[in-house]
Order: sequence, then C-alpha cells, then structure tokens
Amino acid sequence: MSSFSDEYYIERVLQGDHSSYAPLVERHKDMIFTIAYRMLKNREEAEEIAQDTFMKAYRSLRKFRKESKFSTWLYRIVYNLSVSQLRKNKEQMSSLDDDEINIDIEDTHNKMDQIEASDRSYYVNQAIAGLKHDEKTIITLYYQDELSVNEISEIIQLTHSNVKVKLHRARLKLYEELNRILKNEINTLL
Amino acid sequence: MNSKNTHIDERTRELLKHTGVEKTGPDFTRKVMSRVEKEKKLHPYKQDNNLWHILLAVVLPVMYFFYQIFTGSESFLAELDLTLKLQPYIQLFQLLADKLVMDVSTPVVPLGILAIVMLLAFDRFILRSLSFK
Repeated sequence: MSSFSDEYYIERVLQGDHSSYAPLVERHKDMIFTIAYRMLKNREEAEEIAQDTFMKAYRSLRKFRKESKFSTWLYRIVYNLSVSQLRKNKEQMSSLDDDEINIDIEDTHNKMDQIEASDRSYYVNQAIAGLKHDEKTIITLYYQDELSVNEISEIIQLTHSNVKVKLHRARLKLYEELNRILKNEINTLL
Repeated sequence: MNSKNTHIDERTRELLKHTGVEKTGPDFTRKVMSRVEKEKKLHPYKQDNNLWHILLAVVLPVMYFFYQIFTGSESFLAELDLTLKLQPYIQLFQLLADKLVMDVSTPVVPLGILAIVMLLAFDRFILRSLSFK
C-alpha cells in the first residue's frame, strides 16, 4: 500500500484526479466494512452500505474539514448509514438486557484458553454480534482501530462521558455474551 | 474501582486480539471506483479556486504597464509623463489601451496567444486524460 497520507490523495481528487480515490478506498475499506457488518449482520447489506459510505464521502469530499481524520469522518458516515439501514429493516437493536450483568472475566479467559486458537475469533465475533449496535461500534473502534474516546464520541455523536459509560457496559456485556456462548458450546460437546 | 476497570480494559484488549477486521469482497475497490467513474461524468470536480484568475487579472495589466515603461519608445514615455502631469488618471488607461491595440495588431502577439491556447488545450485534453489512467 502506498505511504502517502490521506490528505495527499484527497487533494489530488479535489484537483480532478479521480483515480486517487482508489488508494483511499483500499486503505479504509476493511474497517468500514467491519463496522457495517457488525451492525447489520449481513455481508451483502454491509458491503452495499460500505460502498455507499465511500460514495457519500466522495460526493462531499469538498466539505470535509480537515480538523478531524478522514477515517473518523468515514466512520461517522458508515455508522449513520448503518443506523438508517437498521431502521429500514426495523430490526430490534437490543439483545442483552442492561440489568444484572454478572461476569467472571478470568473464568471466560480460562474457557477461551481451552479452545483452538483458530476458533477463538469465531466465538469473539459471535459475542460481539450479541451487543447493541452502538456498543459493537464502540468496541470495534476502541479496541481494533484504537481510537480515543473523544474520537468515538465525534463519530457516534455522543458525549465523552456517555461513550465511556457505554464502553464499560459493552465490555461487561461482551464477557457475559461470550460466557453464555462458551457454556453452550461446552455443554454441546459433553 | 479504577484498577478493576483497567483490568477489564486490558483483558478485553487481549480478547479482541483474537478477532481481525472483516474483509470485503475482492472487487470492492473496483466496484466503488466504477461508481465514482459514473459520478465523475455527472459531476466533475471543478477548480473553485479563482486565485489564479484574480492574480492574472491584476498582475497582467500591471506587468504590461511596466513592460511599456521599460521597453517603450521615448515618445511613449514622454506621452506618459505628459498624461500624468496634465490629465486625470482615466487618460492613462486610454493611453495604455491604445498601445495594447497597436501591440496586438503586430503578428508576434497573436502567435504567442495561440501558443498559450495550444499549451492549455494539450494540458486539459491530453495530459489530464493520461493522468486518470
């Protein structure tokens, strides 16, 4: 992948070199797709939303203010488009109840250690799928793209403290969900 | 409480290491770029920076004025001197306009303009189309 910055390619596109948009798509497509996929749980729909995200960004590129990172701007677009899509699908956005989360983190990690390394990703992804759409996005951006709480609050348009609270709850619910999945899995095997 | 949060944070980070990001289809970028290509035909990006036009509009007349002063004949300089002393500034523009008409009527200037037009056309229609490929 090219080492030029996002700003360099954006400037080229604005100067009329449309092909310079390709490296930007190439650089950010997987993360954009991950956010959409985790929210929508459907590959085709997520890919469509990811494409729409890049098209929307392309059309509004001139309006992009360089105060934030290009990726932050893209994440906000993909998040909003995915929320709209969920509304269209009239999907119930919640899964686990917020009340009474009791978890044993170390127990979950012990169970994970007993699982084949290649299968771990599957179970963690299953657990993420059980979270609410905003929690999935927060977890993904915070742990996988290593964004700060401030950047995430900019993307999903919530206050800093609200994101922190949601992040905390998302972590606990992730463990709760993972514990439930692993327990079921172990029971099936026995 | 804080150390408990830090602990959960570290453990979650460890856990999330097991998952990578999801991968798009192999032709994802091509699909987006073909949509960009269609869009480009409808709404090509235009240069909205008019700085060059403004600069040209201001700088060219000023340069032309100085060109006349430094290369002009003695009669022009004498005429200019007299105009500045006796006439209002509007007469100065008239003097420059007369001079411009005389200069443009010589064959060298239209040839120069034609060369610039050809260079611009070469840049717009050939170089830019090559840079898109």
